[in-house]
Amino acid sequence: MLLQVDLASSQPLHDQLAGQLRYAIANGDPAPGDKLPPARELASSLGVNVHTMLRAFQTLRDEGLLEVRRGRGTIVTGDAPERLNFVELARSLVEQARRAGLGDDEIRQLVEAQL
Amino acid sequence: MNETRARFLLGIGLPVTAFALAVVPYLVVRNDLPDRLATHFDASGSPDGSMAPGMFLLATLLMVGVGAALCVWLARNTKPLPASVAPLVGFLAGFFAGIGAGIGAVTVVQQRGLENWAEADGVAALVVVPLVVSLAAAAVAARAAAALPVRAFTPGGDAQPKMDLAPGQHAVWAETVHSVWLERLGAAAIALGVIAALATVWWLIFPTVAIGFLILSLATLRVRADRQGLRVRYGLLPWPTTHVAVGDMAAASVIDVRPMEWGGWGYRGSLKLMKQAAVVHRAGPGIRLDLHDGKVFVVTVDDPDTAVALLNAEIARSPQPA
Repeated sequence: MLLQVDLASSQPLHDQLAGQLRYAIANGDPAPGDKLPPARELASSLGVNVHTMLRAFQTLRDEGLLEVRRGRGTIVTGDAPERLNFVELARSLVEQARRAGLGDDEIRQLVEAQL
Repeated sequence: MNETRARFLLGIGLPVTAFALAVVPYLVVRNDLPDRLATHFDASGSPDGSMAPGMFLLATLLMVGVGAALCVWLARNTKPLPASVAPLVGFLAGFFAGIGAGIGAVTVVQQRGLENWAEADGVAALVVVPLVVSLAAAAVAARAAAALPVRAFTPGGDAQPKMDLAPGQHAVWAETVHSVWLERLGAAAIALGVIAALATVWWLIFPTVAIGFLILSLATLRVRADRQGLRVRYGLLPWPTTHVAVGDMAAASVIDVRPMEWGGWGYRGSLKLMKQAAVVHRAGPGIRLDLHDGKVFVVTVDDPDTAVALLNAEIARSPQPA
């Protein structure tokens, strides 16, 4: 698994890291069921704060791409590769809606109306 | 030691000395030897096996012959061997030649003048002297073999992958290497040890469980490359680890690891003592690090390209020693 961050970039670090994690999962390394290296180690290797790394992990947990199993650490979920498509769709929906001037509540309403 | 001297030592010096040690003392004392020579001793040091002197000479010559043949092969071999193979072959060759010659010489000298082989004693010298002789011969042969030309390896080079990293950009590459059969072997060693301990001697549990845990710790490796260097963690514990700092690296290369070239499977060699260490799980792709002081570290991983690209980028932007 390869992760990169650009400390000079204006994009927030946790955002960059979440994107890198998604990209890595999309490339099949790590594959579903694989354990991620400890956040502490990755953070120290990249020269970022461990909380920044954990925040990226948390984002991917919320997206259903990672899960935390007691005693086993952070694992890539079994359906992560399929889920990635919907994560990307949702991200692009939110981005386009925001660009069009919609507020967060309006976006939630839009999605709920379709359920 | 230069190549000519090394080839002379391996091709003539060592074999002739070993054969002379095995044959000359025998010829000198052969009329004073008992009808049979004591060739095997029990745990208390009393002889419990014997051989006719002629057969004994043949047996020692055979041992010396194996070692001498390997020595001569090394001396005559013109095709360069991998750097890690020649000293190993030399060591084995010297060891065989030395142990045969040592046992042959000490046995006939000790048993000269005996009426009956059952009177033989001095088993301590029979163990120590050949061991010292064989280790000395092994050391000489290994050094001579190391002076022979080896298959050239150009570390790094333009063909090696190198990542593009902007000044503020950091990267980490991590891979867990897992060997199912090593894990089974380790578990089997522990299980066998427990069974053996219950069935026979209780303290057998200590060495077997220790060996089992050693194998288990090699079954899972966590390899990580970053701006600081390459780190290998063995097993699930935080210790031991191997860390090679970027500042010590001259180049990183992707290689095809052939286990026999690195001394087999497992942790082979020693960075501190032998200037070379290889963590070999299987045949196939691996990372090779060439350090500024000539040391070489190798580890087998599934995706060496990414790790090597990252390390070469970090080497390029780290301050190099003058």
